[in-house]
Amino acid sequence: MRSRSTALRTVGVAAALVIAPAAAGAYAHDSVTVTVHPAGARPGDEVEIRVQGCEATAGAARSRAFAVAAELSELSAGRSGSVQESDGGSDSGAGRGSGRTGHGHGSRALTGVTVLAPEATPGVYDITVACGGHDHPAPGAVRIAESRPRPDDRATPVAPIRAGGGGTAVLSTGKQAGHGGEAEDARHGGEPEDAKDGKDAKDTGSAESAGPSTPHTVVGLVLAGVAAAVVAFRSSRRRRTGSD
Amino acid sequence: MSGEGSQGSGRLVTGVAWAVLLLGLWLWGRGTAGGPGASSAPTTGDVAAVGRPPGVPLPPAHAPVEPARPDRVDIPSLGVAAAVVVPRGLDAAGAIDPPPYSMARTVGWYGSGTQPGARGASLLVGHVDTETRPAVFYGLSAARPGEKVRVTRTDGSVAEFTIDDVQVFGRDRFDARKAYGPRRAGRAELRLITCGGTFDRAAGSYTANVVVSAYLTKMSRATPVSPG
Repeated sequence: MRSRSTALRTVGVAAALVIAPAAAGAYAHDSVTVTVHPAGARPGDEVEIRVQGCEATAGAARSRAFAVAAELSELSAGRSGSVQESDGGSDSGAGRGSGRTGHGHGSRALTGVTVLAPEATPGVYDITVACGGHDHPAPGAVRIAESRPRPDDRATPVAPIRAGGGGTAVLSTGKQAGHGGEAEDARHGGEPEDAKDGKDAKDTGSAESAGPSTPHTVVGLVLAGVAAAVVAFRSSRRRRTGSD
Repeated sequence: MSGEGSQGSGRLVTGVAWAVLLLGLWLWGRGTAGGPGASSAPTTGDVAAVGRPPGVPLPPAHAPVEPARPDRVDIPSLGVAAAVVVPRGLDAAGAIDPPPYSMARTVGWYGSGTQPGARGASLLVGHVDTETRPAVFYGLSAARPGEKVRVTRTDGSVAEFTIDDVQVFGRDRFDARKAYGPRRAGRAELRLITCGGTFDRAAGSYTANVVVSAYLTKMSRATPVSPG
């Protein structure tokens, strides 16, 4: 009897030792907060998501209010910069992308960009932040304002779009930088015209498509020379032997 | 080589030499032509569209339907699956503003313009790449006439378009009416637009737009999806 109660007590203590730190860890992670900028955006508007208190360098913020989940990262790198900051009260201007560590225990600020769901009805929606390997439910919410009535002026697009950062552009050596060789060839089928416009940054690509390259020309000349030599040799032999 | 006895072997040598020569010429010709895809690459600028390759029948157009906003787009032949479509406006230069690079898998549509399935041209834009990696319309220039584009609309219907033209428009002589306007009156048309040409590192942008044109050929209902 005594041994069993001892065993039970031991198991109980062990269980408490295991559960307590996990519970403490869960409570510690509840310091995650999320804010949406600008406040009061309308359906279809672009918004920036800011998360404080995550101990990871990446994550995601999901909500029924978002058209697509916002990917969170430490630096707001590579954005087209079209999110307008209108709230001057926060520390929005300073230190974006420079690793704010204003809170003592080394937690970071993560940011991401998304678009409010164009079909969402106005109201308040919970946001779930996933970082550090698990979800943090409802560390904040987003409010969607009434959608503005569409203006009647039908401005039409008149200019070519800017829709690429060049990360997969063909390197200056003319070799393919990414996969999809056929796509690269097709995309660069317009190179001779673009080169003449004088805006082309490299010349080797257009030179290749203008005609056979040097190795090809050399091989062609060699083959032509061989053909000529064979013909000459055969004709001389024919003369000598008198028959084919 | 001398004497009558060597005539047979001489002929053999000559035959082999010719065969080697012809083989070499054939390989050289293939090498110069630049491999597959050269004949069906999209044409540039203001040249009239090359159109479909021989043997690709294009289906008849479906009459335009009631307008509804797009929600998702699928282009199976290019590996674009259930890409979210969000409304976008124009930037200061008068060009449709694509979604930011951090939403590289999202497609934008010109929200003040024609809705997909309605009469006219509905405009979808997406990045070909970000500063570091491919984006949702990376493979767009490999699209070919006859391939399908499916737009799932907010009313639950699926508008299926058939591609009938792929062209590259240089930025300098950009024909906005041809790129953005309807090609044939009375049809419901779709444009898929991304960047192409070469990347001008000094300007930080590509030198051309790839414009894929498609027209409505089928309507159906979407299979119900659990709400996300």
